[in-house]
Amino acid sequence: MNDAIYKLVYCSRNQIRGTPEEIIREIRIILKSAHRNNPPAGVTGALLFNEGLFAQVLEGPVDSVSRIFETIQCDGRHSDVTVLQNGPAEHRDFPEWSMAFAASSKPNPSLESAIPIAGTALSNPSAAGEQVLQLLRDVVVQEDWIMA
Amino acid sequence: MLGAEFRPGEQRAPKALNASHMPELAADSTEWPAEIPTLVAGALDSPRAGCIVFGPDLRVLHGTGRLETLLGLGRHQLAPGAELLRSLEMSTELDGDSRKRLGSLLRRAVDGTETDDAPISLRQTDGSRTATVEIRRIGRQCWIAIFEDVTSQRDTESNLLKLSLQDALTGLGNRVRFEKSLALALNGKPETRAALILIDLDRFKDVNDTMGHPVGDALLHLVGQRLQSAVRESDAVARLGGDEFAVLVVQDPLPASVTLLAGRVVDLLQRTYLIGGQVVNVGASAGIAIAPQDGDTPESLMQHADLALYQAKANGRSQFQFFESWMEERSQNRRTLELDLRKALPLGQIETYYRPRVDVATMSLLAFEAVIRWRHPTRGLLEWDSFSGISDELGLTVRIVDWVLRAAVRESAKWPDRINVSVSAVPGQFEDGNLVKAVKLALSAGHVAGSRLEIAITEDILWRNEQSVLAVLHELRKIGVKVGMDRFGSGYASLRQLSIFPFDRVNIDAALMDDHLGNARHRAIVRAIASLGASLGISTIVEGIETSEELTRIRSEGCDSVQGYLPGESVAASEIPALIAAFDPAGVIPGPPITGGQG
Repeated sequence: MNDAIYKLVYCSRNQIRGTPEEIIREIRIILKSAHRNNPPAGVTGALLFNEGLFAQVLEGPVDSVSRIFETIQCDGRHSDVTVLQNGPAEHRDFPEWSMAFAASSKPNPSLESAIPIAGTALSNPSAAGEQVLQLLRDVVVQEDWIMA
Repeated sequence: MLGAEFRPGEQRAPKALNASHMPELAADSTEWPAEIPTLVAGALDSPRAGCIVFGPDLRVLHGTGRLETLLGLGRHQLAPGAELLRSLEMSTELDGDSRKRLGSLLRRAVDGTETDDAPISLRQTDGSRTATVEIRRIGRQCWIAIFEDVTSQRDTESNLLKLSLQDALTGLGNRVRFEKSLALALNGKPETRAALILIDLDRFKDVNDTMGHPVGDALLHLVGQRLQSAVRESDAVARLGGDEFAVLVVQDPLPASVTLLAGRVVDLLQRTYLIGGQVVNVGASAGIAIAPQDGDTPESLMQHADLALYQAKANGRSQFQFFESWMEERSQNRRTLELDLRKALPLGQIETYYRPRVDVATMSLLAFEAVIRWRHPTRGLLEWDSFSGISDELGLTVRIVDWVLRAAVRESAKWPDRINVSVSAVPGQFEDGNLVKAVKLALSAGHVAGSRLEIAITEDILWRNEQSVLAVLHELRKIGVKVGMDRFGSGYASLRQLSIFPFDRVNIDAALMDDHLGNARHRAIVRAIASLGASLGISTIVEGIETSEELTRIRSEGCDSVQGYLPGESVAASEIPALIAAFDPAGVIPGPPITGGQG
């Protein structure tokens, strides 16, 4: 965990289809696999989910982040992955989280503001990346409610 | 489990040969030569060996080593006095054929029949182990059969075979292996259904060039992984070489499922890669051919998938394309045209035609622009645009253009001095750095002054390598040659280009003359270029003028000359004297009749 920290922020289009229950089930599976795979790889981060969008922060050793990103990249549950920010980082934003989670199923005005991020991603990826990071720092909640 | 004596761990233990055994064996009245301990020890020195010492009655004198696993014989079957042939029949490990061969070898040994020195190999029933056996006479009444386990050697060989069929970078099959799979899938059964997907990365070269080969290699590795993850187990995936991959679908290769797969592959491969912390983006195009309808041999299927891939790339990349029969027709057409074009210059089929350029004020002939034509034996007279692409690919363009330069300059010697000749240069002439040499040669061969020649370039030539092109243009200028710019206003040309080299004239692109002069915007641009030309001392030529009204308009816009339709379409060299006479009866060339366009 003392290795140099590399950080990657991306957003993507949610391709999970189904009822809200089915979607939550899928998200649970995603988080479970993150909780299983990330700690041994020294990776922490946060996942933001909303009806149309995923945004995720991955932080850890560059090789681990690359490997995990490659798996994520091939996942059919999302598409149009846009890397918003990537590079070495001074510190972890989510040191305590194998994968912190924020979702918009609960009313949350700041999460709603994540929707325009997808739109601005292409025109200004690094600004969008910063926006996602800030948003996640602000609203990260225990995933208890969804994992319960 | 057999006795300790046969356990691999104790194979090299000299116990088997120690004094306590020796008297027992020696007591058996069989001759027991002195060297036997050394021989047996030698045979057992290898952890993979075992041996049986036997007498003339084919009864065992001594057996030891790994015979249990090699031959599947228990301890009692190899105990002193055991009948070897009967024991062999009990072997649970050797296959029937190996048993028979070993039996006959043993019999021939004691019969005194000459046997080959070379060891024969024995194979186990399930093929899991292979052993060799060598039988030697070690005394008058005593023989030894030495067995050696060569399984790992065989495995090494099969590993080598595997490696030769495997792509080292991705761990996927390589071309050889893929072609074998393909041949196997299509093997002689015309009704076999199979789909072949050829995949090629888009912009892979850029990755290698800008990020380095290690990143390129890592990318290929990830591409291999993604491909493997996208296909089913029954599909074969291979890297054929470079950035070319292939998938063979043999199970349910229906168009609908292949469409899904190809779409997934194209989508997966164009997703962002993260390599050593760097973001890498490439795309992938795919071509698909389905057996038997698109080809029932490996070769035809490969060829057709390749044509489909070519089409997918031509359609704008990052997509897939099924083979269609017209692709083959077109490619055959193209192949024929290629063969024909290679012969065109030697056969004198390339001809130079001339387009008159006329002064809009005086309506007198200023120059002829040389244009390239190909008198194809069956397709008729072809314009340069219809075969310049193939010519570029075949690397014939510079030769053709150089030839046209010589022909046109030679032809111009027959015209009145005031009529110039204009020849277009191509990028290849600048790359070779041979343009100046070619121009000088043409001028001296034709006895024509440099001032009568105009070399026309297109703006993309300048754009490619500005400094070296400018140097060439200045060289040309030194020998009096004029320099013109064709198709101004059609591409990347910036006004800056007009300032970095003193062009003698610009040719206003025909696209700006679309709608002719009805379009006010176009008209404004034409007028601006003309006035810009006037103030920079650059003459302006307009092409595609059809009516005298347009001519009047052009004149009022300030353009200097016109070329093409109104003054006349391009003509063969033989028609030039008549054309000159029509414009200016005083200019008729006296002297011998003019020969044809090929000069």
